Amino acid sequence: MTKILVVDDAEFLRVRISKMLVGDGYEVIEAENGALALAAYKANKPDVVLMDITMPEMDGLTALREILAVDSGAKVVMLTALGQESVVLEAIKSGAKDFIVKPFERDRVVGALQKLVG
Amino acid sequence: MTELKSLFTEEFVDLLVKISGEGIVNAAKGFAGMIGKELEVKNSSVKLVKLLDISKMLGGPEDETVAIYLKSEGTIAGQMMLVLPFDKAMGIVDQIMGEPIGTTQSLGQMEKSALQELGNITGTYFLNYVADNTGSFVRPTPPAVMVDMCGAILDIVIATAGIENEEVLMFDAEFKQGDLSTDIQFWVIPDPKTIIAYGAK
Amino acid sequence: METSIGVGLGEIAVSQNRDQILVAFGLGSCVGIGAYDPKKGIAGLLHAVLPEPLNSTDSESTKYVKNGIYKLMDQMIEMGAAQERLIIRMAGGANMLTSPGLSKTFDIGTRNIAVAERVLQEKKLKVISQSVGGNTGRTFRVYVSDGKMTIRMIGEKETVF
Repeated sequence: MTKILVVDDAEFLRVRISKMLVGDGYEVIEAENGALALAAYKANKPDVVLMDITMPEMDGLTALREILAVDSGAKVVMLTALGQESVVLEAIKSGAKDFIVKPFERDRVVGALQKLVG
Repeated sequence: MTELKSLFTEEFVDLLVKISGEGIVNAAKGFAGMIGKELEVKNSSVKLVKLLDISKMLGGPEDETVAIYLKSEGTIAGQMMLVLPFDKAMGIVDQIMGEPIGTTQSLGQMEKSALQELGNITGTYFLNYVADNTGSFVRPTPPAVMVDMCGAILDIVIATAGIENEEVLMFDAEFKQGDLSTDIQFWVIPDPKTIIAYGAK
Repeated sequence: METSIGVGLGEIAVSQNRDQILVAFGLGSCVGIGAYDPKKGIAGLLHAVLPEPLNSTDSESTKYVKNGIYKLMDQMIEMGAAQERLIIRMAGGANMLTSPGLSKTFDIGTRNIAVAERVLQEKKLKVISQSVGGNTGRTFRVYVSDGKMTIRMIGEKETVF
């Protein structure tokens, strides 16, 4: 089963995304901030990470870089409301595989995952 | 003589109000996206309001209110707050969760988390607009949800903003989705250093 | 017939009118100091907002705790109260923002309480009771008729403290 790490500080959103992905046959792990995401990545080696940006402790862009430092092949998809041009550029330049702006359409997320692991 | 106006030219204040007004229209798009419905923004106004006059505008200081607060950091720094009446907040949570209106009866952890995300998207969309249109670096902080008496919520704005400035930009509107209508307020309190940096340009 | 006298941010009210109730609505991080002279039946309430001024523009304002307490005492004594008879109670000073990303900076409630305690101690005024701290707002009422003081939090009943 494909393993997805869902990182977001809003519990409601982690639950919603988890339900959506589990329903589609994915295995889901959750983390509520960048620091916990890094730890979860090391412990579980997920196939893809869905990463929010605005979070306490460690933000998503920093976590993206930290995860890539641990595993240069890591597949991280940003999932955030922070859709400014400069942020999209920074994320892609830092190694994110895709950038989805919230509020998200289900198909956009599922499509992004399929492209990376399908 | 308002403190904000006394520091800057009329043109700059007008620009601030204009950009904020447009920023808020963008914010409403984010809000609408979250509740998954076509949202009509009606009777909207953006104005510079003295902090101490706010409680007179919001209704009773003891009225139970929901506020989602966040700060922004970077070249555009300040505070923002999305304010809704408590009874309407529950209906909005229902819409966010895709439940029939009337399902949510109290605001527990999950419900507050949904409101947190609503505040996050609304505030971030506002900042996105301002950043993209002024070429600045701006990042929001994770939001804080407050459910309390209106006066107590106002406190946090006055206590923190009041240290440095006396006024807020207040956006007032009716968000209409079909038969449902909610009066929301969106407050923007720019950090004076930010304004000075821009006023000087 | 009781009349409520609202005491807004930075305001002080003192009264000897037994029909009045002095009220500070929705004290969040703000701190309310209530005082009562039982012999003369004089009541006072201060609604302070900030611990100390950062610059000199309005440093005399009673929205600052220390100025507010001094002014409250002056006004009550002017009306005929005696400092040594005063019964003092304090409420408010909550920390309203409890998000993990923000909590470090917003401790104004705690700081307001600290300054209030220090100033009251310096003036040798004893605080008989207090309802302070936490994360919830309070409405603080002082009944001029008998000096009774109450607080009310959202969703709860008014309680004497």
